[in-house]
Amino acid sequence: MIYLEWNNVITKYFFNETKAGKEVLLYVNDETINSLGEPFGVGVDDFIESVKNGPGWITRTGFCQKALQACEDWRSKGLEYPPYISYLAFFVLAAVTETDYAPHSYYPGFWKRLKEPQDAGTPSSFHRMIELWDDLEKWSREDKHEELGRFVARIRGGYMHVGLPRSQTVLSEYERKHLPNLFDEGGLDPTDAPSPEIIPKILRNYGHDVLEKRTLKLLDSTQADDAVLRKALIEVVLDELEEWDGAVEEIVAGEEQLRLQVHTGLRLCIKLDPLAAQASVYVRFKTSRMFPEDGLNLRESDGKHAWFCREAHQGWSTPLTDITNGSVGKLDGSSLDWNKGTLFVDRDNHWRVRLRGADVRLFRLGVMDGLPDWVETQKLERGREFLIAFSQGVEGRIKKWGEEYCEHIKQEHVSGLPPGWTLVRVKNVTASCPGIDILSVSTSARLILIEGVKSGRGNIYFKFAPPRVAIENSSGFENVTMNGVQLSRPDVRFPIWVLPGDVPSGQPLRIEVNLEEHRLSKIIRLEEFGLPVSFDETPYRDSSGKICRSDTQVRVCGSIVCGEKEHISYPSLIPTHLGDKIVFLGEKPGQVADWPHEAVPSSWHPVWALVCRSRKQWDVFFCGTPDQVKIGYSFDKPVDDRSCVKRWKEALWVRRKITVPPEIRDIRRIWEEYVRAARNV
Amino acid sequence: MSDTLIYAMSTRGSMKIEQFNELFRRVYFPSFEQVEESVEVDIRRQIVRVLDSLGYCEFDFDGRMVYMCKPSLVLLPVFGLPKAALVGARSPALIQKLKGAVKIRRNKAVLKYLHHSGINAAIPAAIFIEAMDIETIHEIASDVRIVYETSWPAAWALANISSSLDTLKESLIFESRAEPNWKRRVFSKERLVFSGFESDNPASYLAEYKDPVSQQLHHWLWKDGAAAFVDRDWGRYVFLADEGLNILLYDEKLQKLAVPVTVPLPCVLARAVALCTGTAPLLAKTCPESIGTVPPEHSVQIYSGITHVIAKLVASKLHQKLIYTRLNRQRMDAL
Repeated sequence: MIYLEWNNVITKYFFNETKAGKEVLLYVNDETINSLGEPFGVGVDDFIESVKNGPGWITRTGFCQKALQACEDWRSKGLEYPPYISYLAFFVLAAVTETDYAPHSYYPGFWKRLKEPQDAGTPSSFHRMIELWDDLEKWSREDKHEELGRFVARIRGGYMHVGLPRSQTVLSEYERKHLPNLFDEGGLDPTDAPSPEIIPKILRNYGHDVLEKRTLKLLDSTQADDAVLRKALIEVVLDELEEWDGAVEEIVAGEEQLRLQVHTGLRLCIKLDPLAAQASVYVRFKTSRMFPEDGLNLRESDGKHAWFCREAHQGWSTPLTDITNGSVGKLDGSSLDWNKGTLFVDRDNHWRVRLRGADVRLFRLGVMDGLPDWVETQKLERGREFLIAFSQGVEGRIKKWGEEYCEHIKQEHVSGLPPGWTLVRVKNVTASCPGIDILSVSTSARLILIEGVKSGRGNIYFKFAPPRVAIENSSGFENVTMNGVQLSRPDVRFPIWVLPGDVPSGQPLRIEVNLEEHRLSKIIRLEEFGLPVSFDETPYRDSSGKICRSDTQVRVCGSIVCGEKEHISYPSLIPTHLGDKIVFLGEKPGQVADWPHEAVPSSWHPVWALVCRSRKQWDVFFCGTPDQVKIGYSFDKPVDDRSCVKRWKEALWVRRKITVPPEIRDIRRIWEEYVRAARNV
Repeated sequence: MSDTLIYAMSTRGSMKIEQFNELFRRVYFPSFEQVEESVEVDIRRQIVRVLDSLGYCEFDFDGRMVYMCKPSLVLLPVFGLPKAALVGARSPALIQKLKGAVKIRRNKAVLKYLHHSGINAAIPAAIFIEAMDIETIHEIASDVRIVYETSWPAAWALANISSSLDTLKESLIFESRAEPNWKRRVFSKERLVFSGFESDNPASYLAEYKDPVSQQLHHWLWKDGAAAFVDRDWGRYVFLADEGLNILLYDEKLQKLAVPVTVPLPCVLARAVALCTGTAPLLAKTCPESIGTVPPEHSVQIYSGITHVIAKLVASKLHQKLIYTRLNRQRMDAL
């Protein structure tokens, strides 16, 4: 295969629609190259030969110089993909090449692959390869709007240039693909990721069947250089966990196909009533899967009771509720075994919802999730208030830690918790509680975009629905900018920033947070969008409501009736739905009907309907004929009944200051003519 | 929020139902109270029905697609000045154009907004143009380059052309069939819902079966051992009519029609009643006593501005007799 063929095959493998919005790691090893070359009958040797030659237009001689020339001005060449990706893939391949040198050495592997002496040192111009990595980031994020994936040129490890290819090797594609199995085995909830500090422990405990030896080695390494790579690995794992929808494929006896089973974690919710010293505990869960249309009926293993729920909003379920007896009663969360946990199953829909067993449970205010009360979480964050529920065995440790490392700790003396459990309120935690995983405080923050509506799969948002910027585990002092301009934070209680209203559309918007140790950034773009050119695809319905052909005799599209139909004129009636109390007035002074005490007039045609909104407000509606619109008010002799004339005058003239006149100017003019006429009757 | 949903839908023109669901999840933020209440009503399903009934879009559940309709001005069945509602797709630019076209005719026309609240907060603000005459509405529609239908009120046209239960019943083919061994629910005439707990097998019943592979629902109407496939919405009314049960509540004085949420009107008739005002029906609960066949504290959709003639026409199409009652706040609890 020639260079560009290899380049296209490799690029398509790593950058494609399935990676939209996700971070791409350019992890390349012999297995990857061989599998990509297999359909063409070639392998690693052919690949290396192709990068030695480079693309057809290369004239320079050095390896890195060829890579640079491949990158130069490539966008003007009409190529589908950046033509230097094969070079970057080669640099990563070198990083996973075993040599006789120290494990952290990079260049011997580089030369070994090129069949050159391994001690040749740093390749000429290697320091300029950062230009290629940066360009790849620009291409994926700004040119392609992350629609094929997001590449981030990270420098990991103590060596700047070698750190770039090395950072691609933290996790192989195989490992990434199989992470859901690990998550499932570890009982992780994708909607409630644990603190980054406890991810290594989880990976070690549940990763033996999924993770390669080198990954496990990285997790166990105590070397300073590896700390940065380990952090990168944790970030990727957390990203993958959040992308996971909780579905795992299971082999079911007697069934040919794998069955998709949805797993998620049950969250305890606490409603505190300080006056009554009462905690009411109920349960709900969150999922990124869509709920079945008819909701879920979840049963415990004893199968006695079905607990119903459906989606409330944003993937949150309603509280689990008993609806079998006609009355609605929430499942009492304090009746569950908090220490051992419990499992609820909906067999028909293949959903499993598990309450994790734990001696310590953490709760945060639900307001960030649009929920009332306190909602269970797996992550302790800085600068926030939490409730901690714990059983007797850990009481001493938690109270000691709380006094030392929390700005505020106070026991909530409430009933309603399971026997032996205590509830404390803590604020501004500064350090982790040793030996209790859930009370680990992360020092790293994450930049996330919340809400907003994307126009597609990449990083483009509708201008009318931009995202908001949130920092998870915020220290409270971050400065968030967009293209260098500081963003505003409407409510200092929440680490959420908003984009200004006059953000330009169609331009890359770099949202950045500068932290002490590093910088977090995301690039988005806002777009104006119009209506589709055509609505020809919109189907028609027949008179029974079934989708039908566009030549059906009488058909409906939305609210429009098309085709040949018999026209029956509408017998319009005087409107009594405008309000509970309406005074109808006719054109003759004294034509008045106070509905509903009096009947709707039948002997004369009302011109005005005055609707009582309150004692101090009446609204006017014109209900006359088209002729009355044209003619306006023309003096007419009053009716004989003087009391009716008086009421007519009262409605028009006496109450004129508390009557809101019609909005249409010409109608208002007619109304004013009536008011003036009423003055003189 | 309400406009965000329709703007996003309109921009896409058409989308898969799954994409709509995702979109809805991103934009729907109810208040705490609604989060607690919504166990009884599937909000997304309600919103889908309302969007469909107001003529904004067509939900094709068999094809699993949502299609936006052409932006149009349709006449409401009001008394006095002609009033047209904007239905179909919309965008911020279209609304600006519409405002501009009304502004230059401000002596003769006015643009009105009505924002929905509560559970209906996800429904786009209703936009109306009230004018001195029909011609002004035509001029505005032409300026904005949108369709108008003002020859007769959309509600009246839809109610007239809608099929009736007679036609539907004629199309049912009852055959002796083996009941599938899929998960079954039976429509309960006492609770007006499909229920898995109905134990006895009466001579006639409406059953719902869920295909375990595709998860599609199928509805069969059973009569003396023979069954006919039936559309779910029509099927419920066929069953109720056969049982002689009336469930449509009407307040003649307030011109309001209440339809149980669990027995929604067939699509064309639902559009007819929704387009009497062009606004979403109010979701409410009936009083603690049953009204006719409607069980106590049952969720209902209350449509406003339903004149007696339209209410009777809709009821007659469904072989229902209107239950005349008061639909005021004392009798209904708004959700």
